[in-house]
Amino acid sequence: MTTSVSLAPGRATRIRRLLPGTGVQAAISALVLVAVLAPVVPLVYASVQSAPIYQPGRYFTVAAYRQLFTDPAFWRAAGNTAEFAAITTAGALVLGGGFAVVCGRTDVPGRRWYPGLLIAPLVLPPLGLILGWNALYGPGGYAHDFLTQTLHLPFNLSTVPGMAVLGTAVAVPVVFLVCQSALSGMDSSLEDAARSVGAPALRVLGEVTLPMLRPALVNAGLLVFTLSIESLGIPLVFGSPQGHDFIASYLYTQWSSAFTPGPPVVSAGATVLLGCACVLLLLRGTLLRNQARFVTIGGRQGAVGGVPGGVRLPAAARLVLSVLLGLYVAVTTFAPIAALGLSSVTTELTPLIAPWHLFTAGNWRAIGQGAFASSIRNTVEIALAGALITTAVVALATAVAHRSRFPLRRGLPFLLLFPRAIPGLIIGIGFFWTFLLVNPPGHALLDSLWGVMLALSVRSLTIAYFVLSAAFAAVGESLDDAARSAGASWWAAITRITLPILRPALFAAFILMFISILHD
Amino acid sequence: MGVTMLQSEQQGVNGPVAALAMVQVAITVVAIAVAGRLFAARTRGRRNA
Repeated sequence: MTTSVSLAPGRATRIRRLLPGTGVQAAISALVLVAVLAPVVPLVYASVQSAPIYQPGRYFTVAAYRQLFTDPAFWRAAGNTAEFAAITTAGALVLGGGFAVVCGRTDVPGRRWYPGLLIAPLVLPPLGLILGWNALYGPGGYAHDFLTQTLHLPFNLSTVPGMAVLGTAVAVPVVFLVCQSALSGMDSSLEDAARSVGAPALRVLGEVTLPMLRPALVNAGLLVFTLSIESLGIPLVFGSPQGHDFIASYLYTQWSSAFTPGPPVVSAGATVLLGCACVLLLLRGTLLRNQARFVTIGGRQGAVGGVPGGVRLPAAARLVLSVLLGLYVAVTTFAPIAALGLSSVTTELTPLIAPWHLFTAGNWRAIGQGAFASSIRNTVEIALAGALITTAVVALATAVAHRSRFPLRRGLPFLLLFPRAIPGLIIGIGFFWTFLLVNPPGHALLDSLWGVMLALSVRSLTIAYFVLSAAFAAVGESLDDAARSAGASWWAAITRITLPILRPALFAAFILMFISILHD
Repeated sequence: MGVTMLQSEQQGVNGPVAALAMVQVAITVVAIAVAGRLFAARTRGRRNA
């Protein structure tokens, strides 16, 4: 008896293997497309209607845009936003870039510890940090009189420059991370060459290191500017009560105080904000592509041991810089969190009475019941479920984008990065309109935690994509090919070979998504 | 939690808002600590791999 081995699968087998894999890939791609565009399309549609979407008898018009652009309050808010974003970006670039150079290129004491402390504001809840700053440096804050009367600093958190100081403190970690990453990949032999011909340390840092950091600084600057123009928490807590609105707080106030809920002017303003954010991120993307030409030409790697690729500073300068770094971290991050903690155990935090005379457990008892307790429960449930589901969907979508032959796969990375361009307020307004327009299941989602979970998950899914796309790139395609050659389908190869290898990355993505949704 | 904190802060309820914010900080720190321990255990476990 002879046995013939067929080297090529038969037509029926080829169809059987093609359809399920392609069907799953198409379903995943469609899910991502709908989820990412769901808040955007209804928002733009709502902005060109004469009345809110839920009202009958409306018609196409650009009256909402006309109303927006003739409202002096909108232009005041736009001016405040531009001023805030400009000051924040400039301050964050100077401090973040400076800290990255000091920690990465000098022999300052503590340079191994400070990077972790400097990025703490990224990990802490933004609203917690804002409330801590309010408790410590705000108009009635614990340290406000010390700053204004003892140190004679003209500091007022309710003004735009004052808010920009807080914005800078929040944005410095972003610039620091981008510059640190750029410095660690930079060949240090150019700096070594400058030092070898006798250039002093400051001159090397100023004329060699900083110019090499220019692409990273431009990249970080655009990112910080984009994040700053969508800032909502800072103007709501500090600016709005004093009449200093930003665009996001202007839209929030218009939305919540309108006579008829959801006026088209808010959708128009949200569309304008979304357009600005998209233009800025496109510009950043274009500049990032061009920076590939900005490559340091060097020979061997920097020196091993001592200060690899770094400059040795005089002892006094090292001490001063180290103390300044420590003071900066204490003043901008740990003192406000300590003030927040003290606020939570006192009836009132005031410099006029010593805190230990005002200790109370009443605040913690209050959050253990009623709306506060249910908000904690809801947030943790939403964060856990949202992180789990979104990590799974983004993992499969990343597999389709980078590990499949699906014809439309090249559009998936753009879709997965797009939510980063959408300000949080816009996602909320956009999903509101989506749930109203698409019913069922819109109204059910609007009334339940699932709707909130969907909106928050879409807002944060770019984080999961960053982690997982880098992880997929580190796993060779040969493993997938070996599985496919043994007869496994695309789904089996991904779920039984690739994703199990990526378990650490999946877990990292889950934790980052959980923290991001928790903080929103 | 974020919406509750913002709305309560605008109404001047500062003490419970600060406590809620500390709960948010605590959950974040716990999540990072758990992640750090799990990754450290995985690295140590594979030392001889």
